[in-house]
Amino acid sequence: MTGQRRRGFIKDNALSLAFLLLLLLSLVGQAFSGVAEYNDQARTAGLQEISIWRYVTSARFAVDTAENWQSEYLQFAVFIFLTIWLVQRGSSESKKPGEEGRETDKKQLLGRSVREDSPPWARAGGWRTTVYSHSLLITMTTIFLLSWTAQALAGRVAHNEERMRDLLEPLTLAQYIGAPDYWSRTFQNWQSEMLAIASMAIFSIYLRERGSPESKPVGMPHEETSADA
Amino acid sequence: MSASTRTAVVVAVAVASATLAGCGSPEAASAAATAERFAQLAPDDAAAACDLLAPPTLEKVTEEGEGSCPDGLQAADLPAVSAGGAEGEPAIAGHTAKVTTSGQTIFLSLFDDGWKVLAAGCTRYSEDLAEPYDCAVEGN
Repeated sequence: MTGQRRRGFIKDNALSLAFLLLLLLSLVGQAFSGVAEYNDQARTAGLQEISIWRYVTSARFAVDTAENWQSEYLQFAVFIFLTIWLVQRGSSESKKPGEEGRETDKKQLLGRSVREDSPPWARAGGWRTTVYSHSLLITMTTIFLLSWTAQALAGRVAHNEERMRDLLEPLTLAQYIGAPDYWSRTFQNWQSEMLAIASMAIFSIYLRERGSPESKPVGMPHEETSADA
Repeated sequence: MSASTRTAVVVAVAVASATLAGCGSPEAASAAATAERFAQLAPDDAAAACDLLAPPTLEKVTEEGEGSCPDGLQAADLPAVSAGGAEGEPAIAGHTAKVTTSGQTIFLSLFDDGWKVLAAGCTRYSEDLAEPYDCAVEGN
């Protein structure tokens, strides 16, 4: 924002960098625990154990990763979309009641209210401003769909590996997309994401964390949202 | 394109490549060759065919042959070899494969020293996807 002094790359991007580091550490943890589980099962069945490298390039690692990614991006896509139209009175995650909808150009810093330092596509007008006005939802939805597709492709291979060990006929992609394994993996991730959002929307009405932008100020009344301040 | 979009695209391409790797790949050809070799060897050279069995299958066949894998294999009701070789494309998923060759279906598993036979002489009697193949030779 205008007037905010830059303080160096790391300090100015500390939140993103911290989460990227946590992502990396979590993936390493997932890889080591996942290969240990895979090899336990292989040893029990008298089959070949595999290296960590083979595991992280396997369909099983890919499906376990993709099923979580798709649900996270779905969560954000749904959250971004629904918070345009729906509010939760008193929640720091919501707009103020009465402000539902796309909002005016003035509030969105568009048209005559656009600023010199607004993003180029916000200033461009026409289709570019229209696309840019939805770019966050488009990107989240696209990544969700790609991850969900990756889950289907990798999930089929991982599932067929187990099926053929059990001397069962492998499934086609269409059969897999209709199979309980695909939908069980999908719904168990979706339900947890929806629970997390509902919890955050409701808890943030009544509970506080001093200093966090995800929380209302500690002394703010329950009925007021952050947007009221 | 944002960094997260690039990452997702890379993952999707990697997954798609890994998924398609089974089609016409060297792994598929190698699995088909092992299955074909097992089918050819089992009737006449059971000892050599035993070398192609995966450990759990070798163990069970040896048990059934009262300590002798070749005896166990000869006692198994494996179909007679028919001409024609592999029928259709082998199905490969990770470290397992299914090959239909010489009138029978053979399941294989990949080891450090190549594909080994998990089950042979397999026939599918039901269209129910939850029903396994019925196999003349299989592991514990």
